[in-house]
Amino acid sequence: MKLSAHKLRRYAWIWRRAVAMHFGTLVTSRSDFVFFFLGKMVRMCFFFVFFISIFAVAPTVVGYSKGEVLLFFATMNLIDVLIQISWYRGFFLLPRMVRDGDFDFMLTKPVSPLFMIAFHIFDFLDLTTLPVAIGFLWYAFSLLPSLGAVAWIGYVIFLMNALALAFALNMTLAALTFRTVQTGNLWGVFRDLMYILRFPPEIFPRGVQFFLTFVVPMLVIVAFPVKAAIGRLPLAVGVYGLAISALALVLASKFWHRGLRAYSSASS
Amino acid sequence: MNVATIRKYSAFLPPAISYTLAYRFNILMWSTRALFVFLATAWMWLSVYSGRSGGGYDVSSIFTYVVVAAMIGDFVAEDDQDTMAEDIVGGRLSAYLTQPISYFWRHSVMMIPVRGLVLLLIPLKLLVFLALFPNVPTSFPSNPGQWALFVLSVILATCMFVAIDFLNGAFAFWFHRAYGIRWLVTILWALCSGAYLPIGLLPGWIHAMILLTPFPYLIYAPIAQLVGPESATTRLLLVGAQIIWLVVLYLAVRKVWSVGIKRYEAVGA
Repeated sequence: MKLSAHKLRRYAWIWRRAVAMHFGTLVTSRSDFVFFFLGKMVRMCFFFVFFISIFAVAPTVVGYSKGEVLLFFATMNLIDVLIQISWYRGFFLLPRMVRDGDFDFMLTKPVSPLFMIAFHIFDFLDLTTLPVAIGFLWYAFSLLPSLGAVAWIGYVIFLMNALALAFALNMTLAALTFRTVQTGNLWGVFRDLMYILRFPPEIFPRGVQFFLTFVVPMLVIVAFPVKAAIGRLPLAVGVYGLAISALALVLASKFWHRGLRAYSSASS
Repeated sequence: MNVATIRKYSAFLPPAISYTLAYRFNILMWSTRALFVFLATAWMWLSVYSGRSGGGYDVSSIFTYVVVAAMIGDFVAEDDQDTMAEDIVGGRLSAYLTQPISYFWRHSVMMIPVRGLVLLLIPLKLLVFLALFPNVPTSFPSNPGQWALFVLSVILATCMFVAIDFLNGAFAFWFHRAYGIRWLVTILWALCSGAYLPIGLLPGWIHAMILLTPFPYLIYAPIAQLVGPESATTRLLLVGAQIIWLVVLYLAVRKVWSVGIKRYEAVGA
């Protein structure tokens, strides 16, 4: 136990150092920081207006009210921002680090390479957009009739489940880097799928819904928390959502460690 | 532009074709990914307009809008600002400055093959749309005049985009690599161009503000020639606005280049 606490402190210290170092590189280009922030704000606000505009045409979309549709958008936003802040950038940079040989430096350190890769970049840019993402979420909830405790608990549980599943999927993509460094487009597909999940899932044909629930379970990430909150998630489907995330984490971890064993350095 | 000039710049086509074909899988992936986003947009709008009409659209016209946006989006908005920014920051621009060519025209010619490839992929995309939405009606016009204006509008939009792309890349004269501001401009044109929704559906004041920028004339103006609530006069006005914007952007390209090149510096051998 003492060892675990010590380990935890050590990892916390390493994470803080990595965060500070990344912040140092970020502020070397203050103009980029400002413009990226503005771009993210513009994009977020545009899609908020986009969804508001839809309801000038229709009072409901596939049976969902304005507040419920906005909740899909706001939840996607929140999850996306949290993913970006925490681990996405770190995993995303792995192919370049492998190509350049920089990954070797991480392997030589007495720290878990998975931890180092996933968490060495803390995205301050997305952190600045978090208050706005929370503001949209608050607005979406304010349009809904007040939720009971069960709905709130369900929402929070499936939100955390969504983060776990997204981490597993990102870890899997990162682990693919050990087989091929040409994974750029796969990361792009993940981003595209995240963005299209801002829509209620029922807009998709049943086949696409099935694919995005059971084959590439992206709908578990966004749709499940929202459906749990508004009471539209059947218990059996909810249990499946929790199980698939747990399974994905185990498989991703195995895939990562196998990939790591297959890794051969490209550096000099 | 005389024959000798055309011959001079056409010399850039073979290397540009080789470069394009070297990354054909990437282009295919980009197009597929863009198609995926457009499919989601199509399903969204079909759900919204199912059995309804509003904002000058009904289910067939909104579907036609999305299909045309998917067809022309990649063709009009094929960008190469990264290469230009890297040329400026990395000092490769010096090599072009010693040649008797205009960097702007070279930049424009280099994007012709990739646009050609995107054009070739359009029938494939159409097939995907037809296969996935076999029962959704479309509302393409039968008037050849509208089709002629559409083609003209796409050409004007493409020329406008080339200038916007060049101006975006030229930010690297002022900001190191200019990642942030170039991304901001990319976000602005992508959202305000009408690629995601007909801009007339946005709230009035946002719609009015967007119309003052060059962005809606990239995607919305060409599509409006074929589908939507715009009258014949408004459609002509949209083409007129494209011509005015093209002139303004070309003058801006000249001005920005002449000022930017004075700031340019390269070191090394």
